[in-house]
Amino acid sequence: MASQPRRWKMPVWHSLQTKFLFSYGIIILALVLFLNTYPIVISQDMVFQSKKDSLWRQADIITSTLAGSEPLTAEGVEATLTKLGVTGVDRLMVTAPDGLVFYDTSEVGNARGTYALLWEVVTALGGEDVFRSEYREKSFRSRAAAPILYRGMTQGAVYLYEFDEEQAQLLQDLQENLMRISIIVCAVALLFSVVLTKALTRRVGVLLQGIRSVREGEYSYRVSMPGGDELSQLAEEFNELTGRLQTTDEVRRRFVSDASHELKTPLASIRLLSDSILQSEHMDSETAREFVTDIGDEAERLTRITEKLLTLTRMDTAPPTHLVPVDVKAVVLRAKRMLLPLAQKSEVTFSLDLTDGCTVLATEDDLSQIAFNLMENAVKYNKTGGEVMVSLFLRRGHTQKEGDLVVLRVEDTGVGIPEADLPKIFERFYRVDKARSRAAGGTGLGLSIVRDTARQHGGTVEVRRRIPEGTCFEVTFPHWKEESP
Amino acid sequence: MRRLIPLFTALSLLCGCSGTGASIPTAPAGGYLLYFLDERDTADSALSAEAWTPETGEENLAWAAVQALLDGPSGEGLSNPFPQGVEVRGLVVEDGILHLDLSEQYDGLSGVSLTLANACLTLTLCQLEGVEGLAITVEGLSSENTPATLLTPEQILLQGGEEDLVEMTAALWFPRSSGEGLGVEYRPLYLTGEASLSRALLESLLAGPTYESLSPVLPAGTEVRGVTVEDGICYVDFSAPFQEGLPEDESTLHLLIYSVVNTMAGNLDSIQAVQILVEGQRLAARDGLELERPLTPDASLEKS
Repeated sequence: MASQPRRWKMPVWHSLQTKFLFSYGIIILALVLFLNTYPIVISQDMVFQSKKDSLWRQADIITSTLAGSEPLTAEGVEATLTKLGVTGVDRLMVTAPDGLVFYDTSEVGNARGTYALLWEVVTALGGEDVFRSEYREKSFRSRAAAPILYRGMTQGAVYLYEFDEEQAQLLQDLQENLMRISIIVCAVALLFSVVLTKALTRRVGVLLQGIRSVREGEYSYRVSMPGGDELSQLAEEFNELTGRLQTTDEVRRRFVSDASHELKTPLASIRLLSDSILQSEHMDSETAREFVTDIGDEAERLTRITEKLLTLTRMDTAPPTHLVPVDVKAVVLRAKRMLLPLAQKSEVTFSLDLTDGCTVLATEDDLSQIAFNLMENAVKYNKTGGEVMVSLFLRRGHTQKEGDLVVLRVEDTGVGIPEADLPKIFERFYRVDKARSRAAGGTGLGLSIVRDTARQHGGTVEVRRRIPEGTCFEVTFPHWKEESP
Repeated sequence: MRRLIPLFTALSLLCGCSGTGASIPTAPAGGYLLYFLDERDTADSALSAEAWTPETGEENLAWAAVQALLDGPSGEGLSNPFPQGVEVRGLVVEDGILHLDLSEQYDGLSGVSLTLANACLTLTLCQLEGVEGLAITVEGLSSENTPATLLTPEQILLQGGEEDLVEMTAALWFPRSSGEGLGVEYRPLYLTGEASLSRALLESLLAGPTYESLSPVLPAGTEVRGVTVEDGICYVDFSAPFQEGLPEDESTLHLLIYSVVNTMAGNLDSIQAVQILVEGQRLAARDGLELERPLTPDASLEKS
């Protein structure tokens, strides 16, 4: 018994579906991650940049307003800035060159009169413009400082602070929206990939099921898979394969049933005859002899049938070996010689028209068999006093590639074969007229053998009705020439 | 009747004595913090500190501290604000004031560098017990660069502190429940520099008084649409229910209007007068009140 196929329980992570989902999912995840970080970072940077520009611009206005030849005083700064009317900043501080705060707009924790030793202020007093901004806790906190310079001298520093929740809110909304979109995208992608891969693996499953059924012997199983993709093609091929299997199986069954039927008949006759002999108490030797002769005949038929069956099966399994170039003319002549006794019995005459040089690469036996079978049929199914015409000639091939062909034509003047039966006569055990065939000692296998043998050597067999009467068989082989490989 | 000024009480975050924010470390037990310049670009403040523990048995802590400071920092990211070769000429603690006399090299500092060096000294030495202020002289003299005025930690601001929560006591004017004039409620407010004091005051007025002797003032359903201060005038924009809820009675109306005006002007120096608007529009004059113009606070309405 053939070994059982591995029927292992496929772990989930091996399944095609999981693999698809995994790789698909990774890509989507990466994309989503990118979508949720990159735009945020870019937006943040844009906000930082715009805040820097805006605060520095403000600082410029203030420093240029305050710069002057006179050193700054607290009252002077207050007066100037109240007139200037600074808006848009949440806190404005002006310090002296030593860090003492002249002016502070802060309503809460006003630093006026203290020394503001903030990093921004001290750096600005050192001569540098500074800007710092951070996005934290849903708000932008920006600080900028610039020195008040007059003719290269530092007269003080300006410090600006801005607290922004609106832009931060926009950024927050952006982030949330991106998150929502990402979630939806992920969900949809997941859904889609699950649905698609399920469809895929389901179809594969259908095919698997089909294969299992057919393996169990259900050759009539067909898989239906609509759609135009590779899986549908696979399904189609599968169906054709099973069709072939089914046909082969049917042919085999029929062959076996036909063969056993054929074998049964002579065996039954033998049985009958032998029973008759055994049962009759006083049979005269003359009758007994007749009966026994009949038994012998039937036994011979059985032999013939089994031999031909063997031939057929041999042809089915083993390819021919040791091919040699064979002269068909000689083969035909020999076949004629062997059939002369049979032909004389029904006064059938042979007329031969054979050309020389018709060599075919095959085995002598196979070619004899073909010639003999065809000519034997022509004799057997001929009318009394009829004629068998055998011609052998070369024919030019149809195309450039095709070489010359050797054609063997066997015609008879017999009853002929009805149109309806013409296509089936090459089938094993097929007989047009069963009664006549059996009487003539036929087995129904001859033409099958002819066809199969011809095929084996690259040849073809054709049959047609002969006008005005009879049948014409034509066997074609590729012509074998000395120089051709 | 005195106009009361709100009291500001900074929470510990602003006081240098107990360590500030994340950039300043905390003082070790039994030790102190030495203040130096912060060299890191990411710092909030221009100063940072490192821990220092005096040797056991050290008697003159102040002297040791000053020496340690002048020696300079030992840690990473800090630098010495003092010029080369500065020495201590004299050190006396008297009446809570530490008089420090330094050598002439100290005169080399000016402007913000001097402020920074002074701050380091002040913040470090005021940690010591008994020292509340610092007075610095150079070679026994006070020069224009180093005035002999007192340096205290309260004068030094290390961070902007805009985010820091500050407790403020606000004065809120409400009508007296008895119906006679206005009374004042002192309420602590917790605000950061980022919040608007003006808005916070109005929100408190809307919330109503907690004192039993006072009654709520603003009409129910009123909301503050906006408040701005410009040129000393505070523009307060109320929503429609304010107008609909205005009392008919003249004296009650007076009290209502002036509770708003007095509160705003009384808490913020920047406000001298208050203009009330409803839905962005000025009100019509009524009952002798020039509602369409900014009103100055009326202290006479306060009754005890």
